[in-house]
Amino acid sequence: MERDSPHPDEILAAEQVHAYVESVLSGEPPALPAALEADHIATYILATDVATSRPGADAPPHDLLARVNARIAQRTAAPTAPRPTPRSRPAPTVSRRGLTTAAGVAASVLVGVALDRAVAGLGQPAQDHSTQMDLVGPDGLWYDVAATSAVPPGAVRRFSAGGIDGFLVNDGGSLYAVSAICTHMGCHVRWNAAHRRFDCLCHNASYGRRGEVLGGRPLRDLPRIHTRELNGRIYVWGTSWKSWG
Amino acid sequence: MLEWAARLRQKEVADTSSPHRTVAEAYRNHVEAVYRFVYRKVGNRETAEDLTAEVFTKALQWLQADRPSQSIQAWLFATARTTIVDYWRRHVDDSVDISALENLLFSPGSDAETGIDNDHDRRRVEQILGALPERESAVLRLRFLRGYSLAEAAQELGTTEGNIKVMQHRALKRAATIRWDGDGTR
Repeated sequence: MERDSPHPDEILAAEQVHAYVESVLSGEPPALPAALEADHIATYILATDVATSRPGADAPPHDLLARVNARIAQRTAAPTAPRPTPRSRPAPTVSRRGLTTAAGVAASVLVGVALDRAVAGLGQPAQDHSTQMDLVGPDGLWYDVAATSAVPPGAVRRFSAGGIDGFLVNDGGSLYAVSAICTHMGCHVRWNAAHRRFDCLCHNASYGRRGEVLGGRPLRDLPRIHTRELNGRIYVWGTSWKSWG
Repeated sequence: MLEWAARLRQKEVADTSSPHRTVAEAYRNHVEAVYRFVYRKVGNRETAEDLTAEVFTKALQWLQADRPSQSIQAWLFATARTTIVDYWRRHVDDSVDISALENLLFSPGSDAETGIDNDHDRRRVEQILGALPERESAVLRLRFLRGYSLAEAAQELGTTEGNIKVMQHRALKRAATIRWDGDGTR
C-alpha cells in the first residue's frame, strides 16, 4: 500500500495530521486546522485517543491544583472580558452574571483547598529555600517508590526511579524528597544518621535534612523532588523520557 | 495569606451543610480525574487545565442554582463532556452536528460516572491497532506508544519519513472508521 504514490491532497492531509500528532506527543499547543470538515474530524479525535493512551500520558502535573486555581481565578476575576471564541455559540449553562455573584466567595473556597493542601505538606516542603530548585519540571511522571509505612516519622530512605536518585525524608510527619547528587561536582551524598545530615562521599560538603547547604563547597541546596501519597504508597515525580517505552 | 486560608477552612468545616464545602470537597476529590478525562480528549496539558478550570467554575454556579438530583461527581463529568464537545466545536466546520461529535468523542461503554476507565481505553486502542494492516499498526505503535520520531520509525520500518507520514495518516483515517461496541468484540 505504501508504494502507491499518494495524491497531493493526501500528502497535504497527512502533513496536517502529522503536525497535530507532533503537537500532542510533544506537549506543544495543539496544531489543529481552523475549520475541520466532517470527514476529517474523526481522524483528529482518533489521533488524540491513541496518542493519550500511552501509560502515564495523562498524569497531571504535580502542581495541578495551583495551576487550575490560577485559571479559575482568571475566569472569575474578569467577567467582563470573556475569552474570545471564533463564533457565537449557544449560551453556556452558566451565566456570566451568576458567576460574578458566586465568584467572590466560592472561588476563594477553591483557592482555599489548594492552600490547605500546601499547608498539609502534601508534596511541598514546608519552607521554601531560595536556592532549592525542582529536579524535574512539569513534564514528568509519578513513580511508586515505597510504602508509606516504610518511611515513618524520622526515617530517611534512599530511592532510585524515573531517572533520578534521591532520598525520601519524613521530618516529623512531613514527607518530602531531595536529590542524592551533590551540587558541587555530582558525587552521591549519603545520609549521616548520627548527625542528621547528608554528607558528600567525595568532597567536604554537607546538607541539612531538607537539603539546605550546611557548609563546605556547594553553592546550591540539593534539588527537591516532588512527592505524593496515594493508597498507602509514596510516589516521586521523575522524568518521563521514554520510560514508558 | 495562609492564615486567611486557614480561617476560611475553619469556617467551612464548622458548617457541615455548606454548599461551599460540597464543592470544595468535590474539587479536592475529583480535580485529578476530571483533568485526566479532559486531557485524554484534548491531548494538551494547557488546554486540559483550562477546561478543568471551566468545569469547576461552572460548579461554583451549580451550588447557587437548583441542584439537580444526580451526584456532584456525575454532574462534574457530564459537564466535562459538554465542555470537551464545545472545545472541539470551535475547531470544526459548521456542518458537523453536535451529536455526531459526541459519538466520535465518547465511545459507548466508557464510564459516564467517573469519566475514566483506563482498561476500557487501552482495550479500545489495542483493538483498533489489531484491526489495522500490520504496517499501519506498526507505525502507530512506534510513533504513539513508544515515542519514536519520524526518522526513527522510518529507519525501523525501512522506509522514508514521507511514507511514514502517509501511513500514519492512512492508519488513523482507517482506524477512525472502526466501530467499537465496548466489549472488545466487533
